[in-house]
Order: sequence, then C-alpha cells, then structure tokens
Amino acid sequence: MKLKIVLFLALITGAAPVFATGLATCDSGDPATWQSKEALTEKLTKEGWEVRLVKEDGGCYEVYAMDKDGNRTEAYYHPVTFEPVPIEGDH
Amino acid sequence: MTRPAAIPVFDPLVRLTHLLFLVGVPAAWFTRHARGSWHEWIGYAVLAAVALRLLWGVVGSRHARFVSFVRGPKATLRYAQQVRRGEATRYPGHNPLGAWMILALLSTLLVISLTGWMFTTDRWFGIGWVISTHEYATWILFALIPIHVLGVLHASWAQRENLVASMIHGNKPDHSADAS
Repeated sequence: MKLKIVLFLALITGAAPVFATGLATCDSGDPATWQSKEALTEKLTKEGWEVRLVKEDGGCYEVYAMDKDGNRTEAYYHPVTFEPVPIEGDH
Repeated sequence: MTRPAAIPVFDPLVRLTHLLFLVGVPAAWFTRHARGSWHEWIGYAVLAAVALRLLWGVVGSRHARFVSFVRGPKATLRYAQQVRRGEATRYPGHNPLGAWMILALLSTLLVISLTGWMFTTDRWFGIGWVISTHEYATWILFALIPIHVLGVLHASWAQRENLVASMIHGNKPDHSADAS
C-alpha cells in the first residue's frame, strides 16, 4: 500500500503539466540543444543555493530555490547559456 | 393558487462564505501569475471561508449543519435514482446529492488553499508535490464547478423553485410534505 502511494505520488509529481506562465520567455530553440536541469542545479548549488525544483516555463528553466541568504527565490535561466532571464514586468 | 410562504433556509454565513468562493475562485485564478501578492491574499480569504464554513457545519444553524443534510451512500444512491426517474423528494435544505457536492467542493478548496499557503513557507517552498497537488486540485475544482451548477439548475427545474435566488436572499418557498 505504501509503495502504491509513493508510486502514485511520483507519477502525479512527474506528470505535472507544463504550462507557460508568461512570466518569462526564452528563444531557446530545439530542446535537444539545452543543457540539463541537473547541470543548472549543480551550477546554482555551487553558488550557494539550495535548489528545490527546476521546471520548464516559456522555453526557460524556472528555478525554485533558497538563495545563499536563505530567501525563497524564483528565478529564470536560459536553458542553453544559463544566463539569468529577468521576469517580465519586474523592474 | 396562493404563492407559498417563504421560509429562511440559507443563513447569512452560508451565503457569505458561498459568495466568497464564487468571487475568490475566479479572482485567484486570474491573479495566479500576477505581480504582487493578490493571489496569496485571496487564497487566505478563501482558506478562512472554508474553515469558517466547516466549523459552521458543526455548530451552525439547522440547514447549515452537515448532519442535517449529509446522507449515507445508500440513501444518496436512492435519491439519485429518484432524480433520474423525475420523482425526487424535495428537501427544504440541501438534497443528498448536493450534500456530497458541498463536501467535495469544500475539501478541494481546502486542499488548494492549504497547499498554496504551504508554498509561502520556507519548509514547503519549491517542493514538487506541493505545486502538483495545488494544480491538480484546481483542475478537480474546475471539473466539479460545472457539475455543481448543472445540479443546481436541474434541481431548480425539477422542484419548480429558484435555488440561485435562494442562495442570494436565503429563503425557499415553503412546501408542506417535504422530507426533513
């Protein structure tokens, strides 16, 4: 039963639908050319972040993390260059 | 034929919390990616309304209390068959199908608002299953709402009464020979 619940939760967590929020968009081309989510997690972890989740959003990677000061942070990165992408309308 | 007398059924707190859901759900939906913390504050208001309604379902007025309208699966199924045959018993408060819809809507709203709140805490921020649960429960809510509205319209038509108006002014026409 426990295993069933874990499998079910893993399934629904993994299958979370991908919707563009419109908060940021990246002209990032073919996903085959993207760097992996793991590589981004590793890069940010080295910079002192505690990465909680990396999702795709609008062709960017959307990262939920605790930054090095322990603040809840949501940030966008270009999936090819890993350049930070500003959130639209947020100046 | 004389117009039946109106009896108060839905008390002010029932109507107020219903109104908060009616306004809060679309407001939360349309502010979900908006700048600022509108979405969060709307969510807290809905969470407070759910908590209030659940408490009121225990200690509230006659037709607000869950024990007064929630029936077991057998009785609910029997009622559903009555509805299908077009000979449903009229309940002065919520009918048994409506009762289960109320429980489904309230528990879904509770899951959505709780997972939403969790996301604002350091402990649960960015946790995958919290986001997924928040999203999936929202789709469940959006599946339930049209069924709720159709159920209300059908019951209104079948019982020759305006239940939408009843949820605004709180009264229902008094019919004798109702089930309790």
